[in-house]
Amino acid sequence: MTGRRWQAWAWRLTALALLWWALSAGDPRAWAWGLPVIVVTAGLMPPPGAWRWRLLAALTFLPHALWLSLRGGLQVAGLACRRQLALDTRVIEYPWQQLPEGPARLFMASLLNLVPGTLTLRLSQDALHVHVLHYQDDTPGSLRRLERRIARLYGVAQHREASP
Amino acid sequence: MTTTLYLAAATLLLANAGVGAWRIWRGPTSADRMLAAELISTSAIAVLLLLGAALELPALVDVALLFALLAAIATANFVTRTWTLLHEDRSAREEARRD
Amino acid sequence: MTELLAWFGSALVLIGLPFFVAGSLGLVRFPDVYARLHALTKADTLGLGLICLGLAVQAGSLAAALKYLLIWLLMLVASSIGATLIAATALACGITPRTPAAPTSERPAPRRPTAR
Repeated sequence: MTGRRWQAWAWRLTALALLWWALSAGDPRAWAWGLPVIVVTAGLMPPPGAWRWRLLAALTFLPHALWLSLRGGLQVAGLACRRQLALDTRVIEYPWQQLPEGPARLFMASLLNLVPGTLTLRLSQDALHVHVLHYQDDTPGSLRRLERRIARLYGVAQHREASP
Repeated sequence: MTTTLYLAAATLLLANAGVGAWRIWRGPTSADRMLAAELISTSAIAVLLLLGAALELPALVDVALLFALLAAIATANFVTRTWTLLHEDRSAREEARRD
Repeated sequence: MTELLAWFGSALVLIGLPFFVAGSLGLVRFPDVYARLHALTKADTLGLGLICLGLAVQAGSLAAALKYLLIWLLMLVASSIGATLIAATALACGITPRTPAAPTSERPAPRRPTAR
């Protein structure tokens, strides 16, 4: 137990030190202020919850998320620049399949806003209400694939992938 | 050459923020206005960063960082305020119905 | 090497600009709040990201480059969470999303809060 607590402290201190280093643009004089602030902030941060990213999954997930964001920007820019606005806008309900309640769902709801064509309208107990700017046949499938990836990222993937 | 390029880019982004001002004037809903404010703050951040690079004023990056923080707070403020108004509205209506 | 990086950075900044323009175009042309939210969150965040990346590539030190990326990260998180917050608020205020099929207004639209 204590081992995990020390690990959490080490992570926090490293992250905060990196943050301070970036904020102070690498000025060595800034550490006189920075060190006490870092230690106090690390002490004030809430204890780590049960939810955390799996490191290996995160390494493959982040590039994927950036790629999705790039595609999302390109798609919406293309739609906005089209001469005739022909949008097939719909509101769909996406039932949760893998993610249990908690931060993982919130993460997916936020990420959907950057993904091509989707905007989270509302989170509810058993479904996600999604505004789709331009509906394509693949939209529900891509949501399902994204949920599966996030489940793996949080390490909560269940082996229900046999269903279509 | 990059200096001129960045100054031109900053000017373009400033014009872009003008579109946001139009949307604020036009509305039609307060959510639209909030959106336009967000557009303006994003543009302002980009302008500050470009000016900071073009004129070699690193302090402008700090200003941009502050703007980014304020943009997040502004959205949260709008949302909490509207929800509070909604709740007040509903309770007011329920009270009116009770009579 | 530095020369090459400078060119690359400037190119990234130039690529970022059209996304801002497209985002504003969407803000003007799209039919309702929700569609405009799409345009703004996706296009503008990407534009800012490209500009930040372009400037970070040319930054004098690693710490300064990290600072540019920090601003991008902050805006990424703020705008993606903010988009859902604004959309949920608009929905609660009774603004129904405009869809080409049937106007889905099952619930009677409550009147808008008078947010001055």
